[in-house]
Amino acid sequence: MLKEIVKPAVVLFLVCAIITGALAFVNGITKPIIDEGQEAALRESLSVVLPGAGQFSEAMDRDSLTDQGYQPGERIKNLYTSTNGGEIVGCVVEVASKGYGGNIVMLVGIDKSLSITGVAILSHNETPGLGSKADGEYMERYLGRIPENLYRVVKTKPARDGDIEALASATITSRAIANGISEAADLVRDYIRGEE
Amino acid sequence: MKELFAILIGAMLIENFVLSKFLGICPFLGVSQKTSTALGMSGAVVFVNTLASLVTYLVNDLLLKPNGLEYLQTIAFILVIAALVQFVEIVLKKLVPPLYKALGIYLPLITTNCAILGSALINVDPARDYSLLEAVFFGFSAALGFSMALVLFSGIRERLETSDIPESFKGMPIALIAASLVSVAFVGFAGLVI
Amino acid sequence: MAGKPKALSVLTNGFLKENPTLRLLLGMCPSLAVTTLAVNGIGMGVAATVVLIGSNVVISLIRKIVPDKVRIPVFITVIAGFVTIVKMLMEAYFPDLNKQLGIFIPLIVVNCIILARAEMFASRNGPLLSALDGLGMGIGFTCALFIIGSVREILGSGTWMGMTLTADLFDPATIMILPPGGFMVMGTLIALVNRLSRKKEKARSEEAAGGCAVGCPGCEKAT
Repeated sequence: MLKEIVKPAVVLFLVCAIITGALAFVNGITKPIIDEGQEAALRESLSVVLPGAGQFSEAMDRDSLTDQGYQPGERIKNLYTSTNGGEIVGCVVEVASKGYGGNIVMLVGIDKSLSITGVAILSHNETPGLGSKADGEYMERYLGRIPENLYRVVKTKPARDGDIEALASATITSRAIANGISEAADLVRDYIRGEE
Repeated sequence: MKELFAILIGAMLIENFVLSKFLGICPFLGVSQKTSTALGMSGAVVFVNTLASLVTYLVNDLLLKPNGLEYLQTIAFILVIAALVQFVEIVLKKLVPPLYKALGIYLPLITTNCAILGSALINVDPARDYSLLEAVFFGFSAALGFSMALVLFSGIRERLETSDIPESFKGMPIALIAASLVSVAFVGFAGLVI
Repeated sequence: MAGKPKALSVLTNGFLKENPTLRLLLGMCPSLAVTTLAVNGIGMGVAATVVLIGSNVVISLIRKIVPDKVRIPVFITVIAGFVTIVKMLMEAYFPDLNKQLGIFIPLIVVNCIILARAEMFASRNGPLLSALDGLGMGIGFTCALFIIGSVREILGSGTWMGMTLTADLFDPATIMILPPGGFMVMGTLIALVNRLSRKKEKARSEEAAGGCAVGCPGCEKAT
């Protein structure tokens, strides 16, 4: 009687314990590789959005930005700065902006003259074929000098500086991108002016 | 309140589990031949998914996350869900026999319904950043969306029964084509701004 | 599956005769969800194959010491363990593919194919045959996903395996890579397989058409 209850429990427990042990072992091997891969991918994306930059600083997160007296917007995640011989070359901001299917995580590269040099999307969950088209060519509209009033999404032809035409059937995605980039531009404007 | 409403509409219509995320296709096709069975399955899924969202979120937040054991999420969640389903079955049988009678036969099928594990995993996705209340509500709304799709579709399938269909398309193929047309309607919800 | 199965027929069973996706109608969720690109289909298929072989072998090895009462929980634990290992390996070595497949990698746990094979084959046969069964089923699953993925990618994006095919021939129909396209391609393919096999053996097609209704959600209970 007792055996009938105890034996299944013991077997189930043993199987769970062995599997968990195996998982911990594999995790020990793959974790460093995963972290390293993510780190390398991040470094590569950083130099893509800010070409010509050499070394990047460690990430400054929201807390340390606030400590230094800046007011990072709610979408800002990290700020990376690149310096050359003590002189600042530019900044890359990591922003997470709520799009259609969750956060769109982007890197925005801005150089010393306050021009956007590149935008790269790190991860998103937008609708394939609609919002997912925001990668690549669409982002080129943001390149160049940061307009005084930042960016605004319009559904008609862009009329004033900073107007960005929305992607067809992906207005929410377009707005999320514009808001994220605007916050990044705003922060870097403060940051670079503060450094000078 | 506004956030919860957005989750409800989002999970039911925009990211409908069955018709746009492809979660829970097996029961969607398996038990949609009659509206009555579809209703039974729906009830069971809503009940279990809401409960499972609560329990898996707590397991993740209190046990796995503080100990850096996120890699055990899959295995922990599926065991919790399997145990929960058994538990619900026993409790219902003892305490609410009428409810058990209505949902009983669908409960064992729920463990392998990927909608349940799917919503548990989506709830703990760091990109979503849900609070406990939001997570439970998401589980509830997603299951409601599943039910809506299932019941709607069972109505269509009851009609298909009596239609003249090419031999090769009989059974599953025509059901899939019909599902395709229903999901076209749900693609339309993608334009919804909330 | 009655009697002593032969090794070769065990292996080839999954290719066509009992193709898990197109004949047994198991594992529909990933078959529809990740097949927007042919290469995703292969990735998903290979991941599931590794899990299938691994869990089949382990379950076959421990089948005699596992009491009947906890059979299903033990099977699920073993499967979930292999799925997590595959997920970690993919994250480490194929991060891009892992991102594409997303939640459907952990969801291999509840893929009916895996549990169904554990129940129907691995818990009754030796490890070698079980490994062959896992490999055969895995190949069948991978092929089906690859075909669905190819059709959807060519029609929906105008590319195949990342190469542009239809540059100026026609505008790709985006709907094919949206959910409706998935259901449509799947339904049409199953109808095609039904038609081809009905020419050979008339009786079987009836059985396959109703397969999912009983086989899939019921795989836990199925014998």
